[in-house]
Amino acid sequence: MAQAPRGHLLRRSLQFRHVDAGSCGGCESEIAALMGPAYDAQRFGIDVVASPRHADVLTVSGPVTRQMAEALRRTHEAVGEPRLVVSVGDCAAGRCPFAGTYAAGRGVEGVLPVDAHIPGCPPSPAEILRHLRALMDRGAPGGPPVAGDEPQSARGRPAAGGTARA
Amino acid sequence: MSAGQILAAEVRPSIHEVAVRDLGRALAERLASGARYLTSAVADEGAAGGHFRLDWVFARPGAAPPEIVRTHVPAERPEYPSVVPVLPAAHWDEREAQDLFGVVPVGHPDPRRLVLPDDWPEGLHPLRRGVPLQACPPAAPHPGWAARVALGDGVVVMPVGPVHAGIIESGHFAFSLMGETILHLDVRLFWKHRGLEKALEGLPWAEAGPLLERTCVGCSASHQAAWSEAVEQVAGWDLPPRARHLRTVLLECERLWNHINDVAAVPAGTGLTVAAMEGAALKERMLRAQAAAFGHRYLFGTIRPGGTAVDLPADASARLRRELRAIRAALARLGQRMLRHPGFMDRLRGTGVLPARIAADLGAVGPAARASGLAADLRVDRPHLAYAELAPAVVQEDAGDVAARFSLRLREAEVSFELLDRLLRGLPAGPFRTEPPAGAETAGGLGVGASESPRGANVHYVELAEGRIARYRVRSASFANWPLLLQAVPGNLIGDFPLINKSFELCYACCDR
Repeated sequence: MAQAPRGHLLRRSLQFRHVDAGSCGGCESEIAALMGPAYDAQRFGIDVVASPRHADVLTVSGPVTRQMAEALRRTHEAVGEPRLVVSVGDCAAGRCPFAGTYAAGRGVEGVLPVDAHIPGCPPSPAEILRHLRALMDRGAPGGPPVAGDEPQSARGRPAAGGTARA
Repeated sequence: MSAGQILAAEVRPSIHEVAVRDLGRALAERLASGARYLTSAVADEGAAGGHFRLDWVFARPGAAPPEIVRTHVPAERPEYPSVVPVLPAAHWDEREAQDLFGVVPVGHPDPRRLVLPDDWPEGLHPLRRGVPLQACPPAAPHPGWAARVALGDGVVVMPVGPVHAGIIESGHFAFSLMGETILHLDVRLFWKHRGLEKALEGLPWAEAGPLLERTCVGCSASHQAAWSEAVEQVAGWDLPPRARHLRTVLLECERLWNHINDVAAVPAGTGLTVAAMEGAALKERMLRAQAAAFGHRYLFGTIRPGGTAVDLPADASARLRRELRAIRAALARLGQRMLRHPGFMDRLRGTGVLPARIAADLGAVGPAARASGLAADLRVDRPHLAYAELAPAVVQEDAGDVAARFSLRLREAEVSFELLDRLLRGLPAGPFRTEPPAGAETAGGLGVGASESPRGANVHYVELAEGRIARYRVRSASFANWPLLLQAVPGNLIGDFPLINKSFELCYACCDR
């Protein structure tokens, strides 16, 4: 596990760049919802940026496919220091049903240093928002609740470790 | 059982073996007689003859089972004349099989790698027997994929991706530009290739669900339905009426949230933010309604062989029906405002035209096909689930531009809302799933399951042996339609590319697997 999130790195603003490293698209759909009217992450100072050069945080989804590993590393290098890496979803945390095939890795850990995991398949926008806010000063416990804040049902969650066999 | 119900055992595909030299003619004859290309699959028959098996699967309108044209090529010389001259729609299928099996389509107009990563060594074909699932060869030097570009003074080649500026899936585009005008577009996908089909091999059919439903978030119910249908064919397993209707409800809900997503994405591509945000709010309402009714925002884990995994009790059904009525009214109002917005519609009309002839030749499916005048909709082409009784209207447009694909989705959403209202008025009583028939756990044989996903025909080719998956090929609607996007783009302005792309809204994950 990478070093714990640095205190006070992010105060009232969190700009993130997202990299899809082989997801099913579910995490992308839920992250995109953050920028929509139902979750409106911008009111918390959270925004998506077009270039990794503008980002504080790199969010990553998917198991990290063999083909995406280099693009992911180069995008990470382009994020100026100090920077945080957040893995989004169970695949990025190594619990992907396809983990460890000839084409798919076992998550972001081992490719990049990871500062925080957001579990779920996919994690709901409310859960993603809660985790991102926790990285910021204003996300401390006791902050305002987020509407639609029901944890994603456990139905259909893949078993830990995926199904790839030796 | 009611009249007209298709028994699973009656719809197993028929298989016609031909010699390699007769392959092109056999395919041409099928097409000339009105059959439609569904999918193809290569399999490594390994020790059982040292051959590769090549199957091309066709469908005819109606209840007749799929027809398979089959040939074999020897392992020591795995090649055959490319079928692209007679079946251009199979062009990516042949390249995929070349990468994954090393079966060479001689004379194929585009011999570049399609699936395998740039650093994957030559001569190692992951889906061959004997190559382990977790094969991890060291990075090999490779010239890399070269884009096909336009040449000439003043032509600028602009590569974009795989990492994109917005929150979208990974893929690479190579634009050949003259000023703002796109002369040519090439695309490189399979950045998200996860090895789904090899990961399925050896699994008991019942354990395939968690992988297949995650092939793609947008087509999850469709993948679950196609998987279930293929297994049911092989096992001779019939669905009770409530299961057929519930599956239809799930598939139509999926169509709706995707169409709402796409209707919101198009104004995002034109900068009409208010409409994009209102559409995003409606998509969120749809996802929450699905979570409330079925336990998952994206319907993961809702369909399995033998029926559905979830039931919909009367009170939940009534709540869903009420919420759908509200979403329907809101979408209709939003759609009308957009269709009447002159600046918005001016961007859409005449942009990104997909000509009907090209759509037909290259095997376009789904809304992209129907917006170019093709009548292709598996809900109508083959009676299955509750579609035979519901007889949904096939929505078509003629212009083939972004405006046609946009307005077609609004009209199709209306059809889906109507279907759901009828379905939810009264689901049949009885079980929502049944136990497998005797022998299902060790069933063997070939099944072809197909579902009209929100983007078109989604076809699962499933070979079982002793109840375990021997070969599984997923040919999604996005796999079929990605090459067609390339045909709709030249001649347009680069600033209109996001708009054209959003009007197709194809899945990268579905294609790459």
